[in-house]
Amino acid sequence: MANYGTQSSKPIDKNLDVLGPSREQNPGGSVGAVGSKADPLVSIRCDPAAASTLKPEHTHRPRYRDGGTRFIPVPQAANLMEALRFARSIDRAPWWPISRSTGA
Amino acid sequence: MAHLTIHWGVTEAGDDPDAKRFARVREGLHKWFKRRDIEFTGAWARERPGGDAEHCHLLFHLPAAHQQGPKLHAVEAAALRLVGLHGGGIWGDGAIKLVIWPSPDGLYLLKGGGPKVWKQFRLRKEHRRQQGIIHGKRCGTTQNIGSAARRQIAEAHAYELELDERAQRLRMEVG
Repeated sequence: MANYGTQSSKPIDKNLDVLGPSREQNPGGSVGAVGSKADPLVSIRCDPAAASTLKPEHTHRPRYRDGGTRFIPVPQAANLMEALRFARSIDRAPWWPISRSTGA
Repeated sequence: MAHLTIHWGVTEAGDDPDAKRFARVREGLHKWFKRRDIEFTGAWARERPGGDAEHCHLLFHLPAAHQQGPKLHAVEAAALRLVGLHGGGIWGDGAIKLVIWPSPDGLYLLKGGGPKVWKQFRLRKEHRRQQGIIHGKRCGTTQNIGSAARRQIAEAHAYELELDERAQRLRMEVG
């Protein structure tokens, strides 16, 4: 059986595309090191001290008014009516999912 | 179309000040309809008249087969179960009310719109009453008829028309 130049002497009938539950260790090489020929995986290490100094680009801003609202704004009302008009207009269109829904 | 009204004051939770319970009910209804191959499509509004517990209106598409008989009862039962589940139980009558409307205009959802909205959309005088202070979003629609979906569908429709025109032009040139 041809070996196709692999480093291990194991038969190649094993599916190499699928990782098993425990990967075999190569005793000679350092696993996960950059540039290692034994294992091409690269491990990336994050420095928690450096990460903690990062500041978010946008500060938190509340989405809604703290005191609440008394009325529906005109743009929201217009959007609501436009959406309902749209739903009515396409209710009978064959390409629209709600007209296909039979509820069977 | 079906009009569902949910009174949170009749549930054990008593209220839904941040609309999280109502959002979960809508999500549950979406799943319930999806399991029956129905696209959940609708619009909603939250109201708190007189500073009492909040109530919500949900106007949604209901196929003709579900608008009467046992299937309508199944929709009602599903809605009641969801309100009970997310409201921590129901202690009284009238937690939900489901009414079928043949072709509603949706203006009822704009009761809490205030004078400008009432005037612009010509609401009936009996509906022109303040609907209290609401924290968070007062009204909304399902994503499939939201502004982004409408824009996408309009663009796709325009593209289809353009393709049809091109095909027609080519046919004329060949013929």
